[in-house]
Amino acid sequence: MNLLTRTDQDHVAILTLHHPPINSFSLPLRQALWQALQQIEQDPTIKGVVLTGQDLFSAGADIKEFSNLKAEIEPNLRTLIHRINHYPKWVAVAISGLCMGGAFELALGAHLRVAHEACKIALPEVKLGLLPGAGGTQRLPRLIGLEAALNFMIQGATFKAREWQALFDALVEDDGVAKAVELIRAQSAPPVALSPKPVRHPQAEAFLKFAENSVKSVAPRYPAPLKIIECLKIATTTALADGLAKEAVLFEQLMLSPESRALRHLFFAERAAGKVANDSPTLTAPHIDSVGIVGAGTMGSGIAIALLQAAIPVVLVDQTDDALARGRSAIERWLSDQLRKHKFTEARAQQVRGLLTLSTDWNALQQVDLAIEAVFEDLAIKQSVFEKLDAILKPSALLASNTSTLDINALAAKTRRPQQVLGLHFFSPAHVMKLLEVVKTNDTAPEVLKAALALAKRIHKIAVIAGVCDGFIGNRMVIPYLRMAEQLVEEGATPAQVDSALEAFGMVMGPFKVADLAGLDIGYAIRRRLRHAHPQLPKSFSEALVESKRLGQKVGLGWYRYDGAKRKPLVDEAVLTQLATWRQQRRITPRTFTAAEIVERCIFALINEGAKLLGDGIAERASDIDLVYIYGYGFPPFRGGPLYYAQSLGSIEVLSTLTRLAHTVDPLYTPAPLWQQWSITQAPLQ
Amino acid sequence: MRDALIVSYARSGLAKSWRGALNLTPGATLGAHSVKAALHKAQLDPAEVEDVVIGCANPEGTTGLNIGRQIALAAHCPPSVPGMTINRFCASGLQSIATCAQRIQAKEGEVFVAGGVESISCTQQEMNTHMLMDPALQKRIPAIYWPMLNTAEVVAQRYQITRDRMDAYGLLSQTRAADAVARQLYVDEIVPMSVTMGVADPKTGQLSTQTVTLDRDEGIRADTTLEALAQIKPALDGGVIAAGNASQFSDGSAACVLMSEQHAASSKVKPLGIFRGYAVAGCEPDEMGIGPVFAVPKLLKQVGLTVADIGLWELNEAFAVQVLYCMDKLNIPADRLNVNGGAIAVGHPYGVSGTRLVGHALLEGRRRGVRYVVVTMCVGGGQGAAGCFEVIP
Repeated sequence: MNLLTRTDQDHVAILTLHHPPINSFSLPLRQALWQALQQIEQDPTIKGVVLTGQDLFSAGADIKEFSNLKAEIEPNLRTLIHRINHYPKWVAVAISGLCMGGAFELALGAHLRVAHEACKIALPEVKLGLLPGAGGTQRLPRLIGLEAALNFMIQGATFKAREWQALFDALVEDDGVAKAVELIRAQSAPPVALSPKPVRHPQAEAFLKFAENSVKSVAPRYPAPLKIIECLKIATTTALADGLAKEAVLFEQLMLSPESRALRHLFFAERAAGKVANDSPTLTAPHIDSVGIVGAGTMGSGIAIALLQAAIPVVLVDQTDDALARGRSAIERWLSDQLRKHKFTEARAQQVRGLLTLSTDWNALQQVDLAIEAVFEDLAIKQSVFEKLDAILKPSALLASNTSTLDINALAAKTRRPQQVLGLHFFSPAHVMKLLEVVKTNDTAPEVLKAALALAKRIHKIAVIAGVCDGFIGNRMVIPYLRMAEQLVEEGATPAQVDSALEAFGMVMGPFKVADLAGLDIGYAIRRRLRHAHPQLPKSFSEALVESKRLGQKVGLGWYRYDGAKRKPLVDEAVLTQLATWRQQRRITPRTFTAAEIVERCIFALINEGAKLLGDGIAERASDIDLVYIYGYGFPPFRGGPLYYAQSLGSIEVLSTLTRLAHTVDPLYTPAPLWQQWSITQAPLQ
Repeated sequence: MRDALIVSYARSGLAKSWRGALNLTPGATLGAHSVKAALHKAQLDPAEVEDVVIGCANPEGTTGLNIGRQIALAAHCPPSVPGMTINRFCASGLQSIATCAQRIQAKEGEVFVAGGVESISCTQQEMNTHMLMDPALQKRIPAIYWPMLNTAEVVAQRYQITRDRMDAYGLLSQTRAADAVARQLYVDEIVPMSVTMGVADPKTGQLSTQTVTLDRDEGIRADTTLEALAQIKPALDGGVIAAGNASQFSDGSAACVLMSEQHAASSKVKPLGIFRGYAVAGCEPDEMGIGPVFAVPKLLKQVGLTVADIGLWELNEAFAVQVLYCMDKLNIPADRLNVNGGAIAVGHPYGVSGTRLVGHALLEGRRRGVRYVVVTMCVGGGQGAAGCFEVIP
């Protein structure tokens, strides 16, 4: 099939894009469009052109072309849009479905714009650390004004066409082609290109500086929003042609920036994560149209909300009416939040309530397609739940555990359907955190994994597949990270110093604040279990904290103290005193650490464990590990995730640092075999 | 020697820098607002003005070139009225009054406008830093280039003033200012100003411009408590200076009309006070906050008065630490000092504060029936400045 088809109607040529799945403007499509425009220009019977897509207009440029440099080959998008804007015949776009990025910039270059009122429009480049580089920063403010253009671009948000009526000559309820043809036929004069005059605003200079200051305070580590503001400043001071040339230069700068490279890596990582290894069209995943959840605690009700949000029916089961009442009130609290924020209408809230069944009778689970247990983290309890569920569920139903550390193979062994058993490790709060670890056991069938990934997509989670091991991907890596953070404190740093060093590196929250939030008893239990296997394991300071009743934020005391209802961690002299005593007893002479030393020890612990578990086959691909840390553990996106970050440092740096730390700090830094291989082959980790 | 009289005083509300109402307002417009209002209160034809003298501590960018001249023109003074800009950092707005008064005394003219303008929002982060520091001077006297914050930490350490005392003073400033607002004591001086401001919606992140009216000081918080102040993180790691015990960054403008006693006699407007004297003194740059300790005795000696003769003091609250030290050292009674709050609560647009304190001291002095008021402040680089005025009842 041709990438572009032409049908003529009433002396108007209708050009339809056929480049599935998203009609990206890759080089062949640009060439086809260019040629069509050349031909039509010579055709005296044609008055104008309507450019349209079938189900959707286009998601814009082909991002792969940014890396292989094809994006720049002529006719590049900038040249094409310039051609359209100065075309001697009328050019209209008729957009529906979605029109984003480069495609939206192309629409801005057309003489007439017709849109389906619900067509999704956006300039999302900023999310990839880029700016709209095909004229968007110069044409949009000339069409809708400076302030509106800034807000349109600066967060890369997606809008409906009807929210931006000023941009369109007509809003319609169909594909808009008929209206576009009608508009062209109604024209009596030749088309006029967009005015090249600078954008006017009474206080452009002051407003843009204010915008710059605001953006810097919100996202100081991301250069793209600031470059967008710079482009807007150019738009207010120079003519269009000059502005377009300068925009192209700034776009190139961002393209080469480490932040954009990292963000583009994550974009492709997300796409890759949704795929099952060795997937094929014959692999048919069972549909999941209803879900049962056992356990109405924080986790269970959070998972319920995540599912209800996507209009999936939920059966929530717990032992007692009290427990169910707590689950219901958590869900009601969420619903009233949605109503208060005008995210839901009362009708929608009522619909959601209708999707929820609460019961103390496990037989209510008989018809669900998937059951997730979210009961107390104890192997024996979970095994008995699995046995019971296996007996009640219909034979085709899938059976999942929300455990964060336990051996799911041992749970599967208690059922007659081990190939239908998997882990679905949600992160708390489950309806907010984007990450979902899908854990495969020795027996989990590929169809089952595929079904789980499809479900994850429906509930808008970033899902990665993990193998069974202690902690799966995320928690397995966090253990050495936390241990090294704690060792720093034992050797002389303060918890606040360690937290602020890692926050300055970009982590959303330092490790001790996270520990307080999660509850110190969790780490305590893990350490207890470890000591079972390794009786010589020395007592850690965090264990001492737990034993002195400092369990974290929930009791107001942990690594920090908390003032009443406020969640702000305050430095507690009592902890520092307890630490001093603890060091004295162990004859540790406290030393000071620089922020760089703190970051090095903690982040390299993470990096090395990541490569180890990748080598062990726990993760399917290196980029999955990056996603886990970005979406589950607050690793900074502009650094692309732990393994991407390590690779961006280069093998010489990674190997020499790990080797040095292995000798001076702890053997856990002994370079993982994958890092050693990488230093020889230099081939990116797969 | 003839007397110079302060005849009128007006100012803008003081807006929080970067987030406040004046964050987009150009310097000439900002300064002209107060100059126009002061001329209006003095019922003067602008053509009669001999010179417009404007203090500004960051005289660049939107308050750059000769902002004094721009302000005169923006205030609709005819081109025949000249203008100048004056900078003695935080004493600029007092220096402009002193300079005009002295020129009246020297019979250089009959009517002057003195004032101050500061847009910290639009200048402080955009400074021209090319060759900012002279390496030779920096080597010999590094503290001349220090941020003021560091000098305040030195004062706290050197003179053993505790965080608790500073926070308690910060609270006092807020309480007094809030009380003064409740009693409408600032209404006489603030002239409402309609401006376009930049607004960031905290929820959506939308950035836009809005037209607002600034008719109050944005920094005053009636709900301040000692517990809340104690929780504020120090500005420097391990330091004692924190947002609750230091002045607030603000934008604003203020202006006074000064006349010779002869000219004032023919005016329909009742003057506010008489300029009695002015002194400046230098001190070590690393403890610039204690400058008033040297300037005030010099001033009092000049005018032949003692601390006990002064009925009301305005000692600029750059930092609570230096206010406390100066108060102790000069034996200023607490109930005569900064009685309606100070820069910790209302804000400190550097070049404006001097003019504001003179105007406010004369108004409050009249309310209290006192005869003499002193306005003093510390000055970056290690100086103190002090002016003495006689209140016209």
